[in-house]
Amino acid sequence: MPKRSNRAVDQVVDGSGVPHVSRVRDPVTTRGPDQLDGRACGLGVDVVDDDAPAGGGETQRTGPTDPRPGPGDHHHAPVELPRRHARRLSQRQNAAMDELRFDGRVVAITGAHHGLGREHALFLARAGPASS
Amino acid sequence: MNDVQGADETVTMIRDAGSEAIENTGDITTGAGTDTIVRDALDTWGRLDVIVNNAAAGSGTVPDEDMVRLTLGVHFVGTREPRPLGHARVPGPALRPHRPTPGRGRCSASPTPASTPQARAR
Repeated sequence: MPKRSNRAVDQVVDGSGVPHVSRVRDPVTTRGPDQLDGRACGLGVDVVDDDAPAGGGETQRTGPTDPRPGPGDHHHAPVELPRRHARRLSQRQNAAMDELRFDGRVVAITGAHHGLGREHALFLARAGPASS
Repeated sequence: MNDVQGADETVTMIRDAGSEAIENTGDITTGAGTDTIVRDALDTWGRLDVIVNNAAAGSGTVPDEDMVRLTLGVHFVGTREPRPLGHARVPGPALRPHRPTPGRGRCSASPTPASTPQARAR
């Protein structure tokens, strides 16, 4: 008897109470459940095939596309980005982005009599009052 | 052709926001017009740090010769001629005498599709 492992599977439980998903293909690993010992977890969704042998497999995971279940194998799992993505800006750059200032700067804006040009002008006017 | 209706209102709004502003109605389709923009800024504040080449012209119709000239004037002359102070790599005739610190400053242009159907629909 396959284990009902999460909500995604519960949603396809039929009246018999036996979870079954007949045709599932994991878009990440491009392997079907028959090749995954009844489980396809590449996108964080457990899929249980009623033809799969009971007992499941190991629970240790080796990577994000590892078909075996592990922490984060459910919808809306928090995704921890690699460090190089999480911190694109230096601390100094982040501080600069917090408040972009144009104090004392002189800006010429063409076509500022209306529309977007006027909005540019007003943004800059608020971002840099004259330093007199 | 040089549409400046509302410029004085923008100036008032800028001043209300706490900054200084002057109105320049120079025609940016000519080098002489862009020169007056630069000159006004230098005469008034002694510097010019940023130029926002916002002005645009175009129409959704098949362009006639006048429209081609106007579009080229606004988008090419108006973008090429005025340059911020201190830009060394692309020297501009209007600012060449007013470049106190060579190597300082940037000149970057970020075009937007002004005449696309999406833009016209706005």
